[in-house]
Amino acid sequence: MSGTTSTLSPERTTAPAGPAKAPGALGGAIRAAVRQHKWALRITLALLVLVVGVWAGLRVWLEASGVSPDANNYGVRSAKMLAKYAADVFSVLPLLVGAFVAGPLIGRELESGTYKMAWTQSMSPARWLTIRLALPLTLVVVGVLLLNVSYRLLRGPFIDDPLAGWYQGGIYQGLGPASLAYCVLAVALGALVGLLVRRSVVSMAVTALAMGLLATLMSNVRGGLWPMRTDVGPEAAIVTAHAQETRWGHGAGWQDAQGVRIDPGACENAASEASMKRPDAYESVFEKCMADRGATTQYGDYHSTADFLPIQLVESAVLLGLAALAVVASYGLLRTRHGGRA
Amino acid sequence: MSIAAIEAVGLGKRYGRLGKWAVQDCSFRLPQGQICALVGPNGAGKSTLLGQLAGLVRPSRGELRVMGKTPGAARQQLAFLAQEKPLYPQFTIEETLRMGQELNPGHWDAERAARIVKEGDLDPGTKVRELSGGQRTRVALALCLGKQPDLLLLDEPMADLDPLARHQLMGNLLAEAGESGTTVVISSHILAELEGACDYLLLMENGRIRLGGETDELLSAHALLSGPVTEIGAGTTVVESKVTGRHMTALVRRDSEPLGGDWEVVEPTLEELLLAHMRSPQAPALLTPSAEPQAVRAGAGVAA
Repeated sequence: MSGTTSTLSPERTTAPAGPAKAPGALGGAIRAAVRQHKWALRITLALLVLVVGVWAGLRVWLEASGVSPDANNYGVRSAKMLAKYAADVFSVLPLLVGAFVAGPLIGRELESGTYKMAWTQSMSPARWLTIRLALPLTLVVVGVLLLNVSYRLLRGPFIDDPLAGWYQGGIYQGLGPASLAYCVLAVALGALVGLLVRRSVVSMAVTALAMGLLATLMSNVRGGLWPMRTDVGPEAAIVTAHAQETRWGHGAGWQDAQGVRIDPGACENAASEASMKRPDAYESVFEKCMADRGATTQYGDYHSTADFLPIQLVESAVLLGLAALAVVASYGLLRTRHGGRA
Repeated sequence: MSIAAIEAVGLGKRYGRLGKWAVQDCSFRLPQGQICALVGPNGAGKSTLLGQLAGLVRPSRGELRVMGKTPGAARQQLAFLAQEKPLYPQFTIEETLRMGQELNPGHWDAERAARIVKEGDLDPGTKVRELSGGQRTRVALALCLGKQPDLLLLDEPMADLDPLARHQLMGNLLAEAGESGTTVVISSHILAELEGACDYLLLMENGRIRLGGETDELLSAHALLSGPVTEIGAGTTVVESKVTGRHMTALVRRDSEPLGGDWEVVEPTLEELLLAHMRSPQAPALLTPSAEPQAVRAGAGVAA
């Protein structure tokens, strides 16, 4: 900069001038952000080590002790219980990640005005945002992959538990790439909400709520993300309706010889009316009614275990697409409000 | 002609599509090396203007150059002390200054920053959240001056300081700026705070610059007349006139000498000049030649 001051600053740093100093400033900006959130980082890493250690450790214990996963002792029961409920971590994680990015990482800086200091200490708004996206993304990628692996280890021996099938809420997420996609989206959405709302607590709540709603929505449309398989046969509907570890049942019912599905509504009504007069009449009336309408056999729609990965990939693609939109919107918002390249 | 520290032409900022214009039709030029007071009532648009200069607020319209560049491109050359003195509260003073050093490789003066902190008797290990208002201002100022800015922007820097600390910090600041030739813009709504310290003046009201230029020149461009009630010559711009009985005082521009009439003529004080303008919104704006923006050079860069 101005040469007039060079004589009175013996401790002046000696980094080279010109474009070459950009990496140094970038490193400084990253270090500043890490130092700013060092406690959050420490706590996160400690929790990660704890959870991964317990999950993987349980598997190691089971293997080492040679206990059968079907054994009815306290240790195995606890491990089985944990294998079922540990998956809830994957449902909660995106909410926590999103809230952290929206609040402490971005919203709080805008609320308290510290961004004014950062952006006039030679850090451009774009770089400021990039660091606040890149740091949590790095942590999320490493953390979620470790959690995925250790969760698979934990669940391994209990994979046949029909009450904890692959398609159930947290378990579905914990087993595949969608868990990572949810957390990536949480980072991007958290950033956008933080920039829009500019209030720490409010943006945390909004982001967590939005991620929760999105997860609910996705779990409702998930079955339709990949073509359904269909079984046809005398017992198909009944088989599909039962909870199973490998089969994710959807629709089930009756169809005629041409394969046309028959709406059971009218027959159900008729059977209900008949059973008021004669309690044991329901089944016979219903079956006769359906037969009169041409029902010859049953069908069951379901996803098999083989559909797990395709569904995960389609869902992940949707989530990552949304994340990309949120990132583009965030940079656009920053540019519109605060201007400035460089 | 050397590059101006600031050059604004038709600058405007509106918050939201239907909001009020916080800065409007704002045009002025500030030569390098000046200590400039940006004064005006609360809500005049001073903070928004400073935010635009600092590259924090994107102008809705107009042209703005800071050290000949867009504010975004001049980030390394300017420092800004926002009104609320934002610093990371969880950092110690030492960590704060280290951050300054790491964010400004190649143009950070560690010795200078440490000296400013030391002069306030502050322990570098103290957390920022434990500092008093004045101490906090001092640390924020050290962070600003440590990066050796060519342009230092200060938004109401002394508002939360007691008179003694104010005096001390102001002296500190002016000495540092004088030593390095830094251009300084200090905003305030308290006129007395800046009198005597600033050689350049910008009076801002309703988002516009109403007076701009060297303080001396602005003062000598005006005259305070007092005498019996008389008609003032048609060629003279009257900023404000007051009649008390048969006696009359008026603050006028010396744009058509001689003033004529049976007046006692004195040069107004800075306070009289500023107050007369603030009380008379109809008085035309006045920029001295050095404060007139040159046409922003074509091709000097993309719009801010």
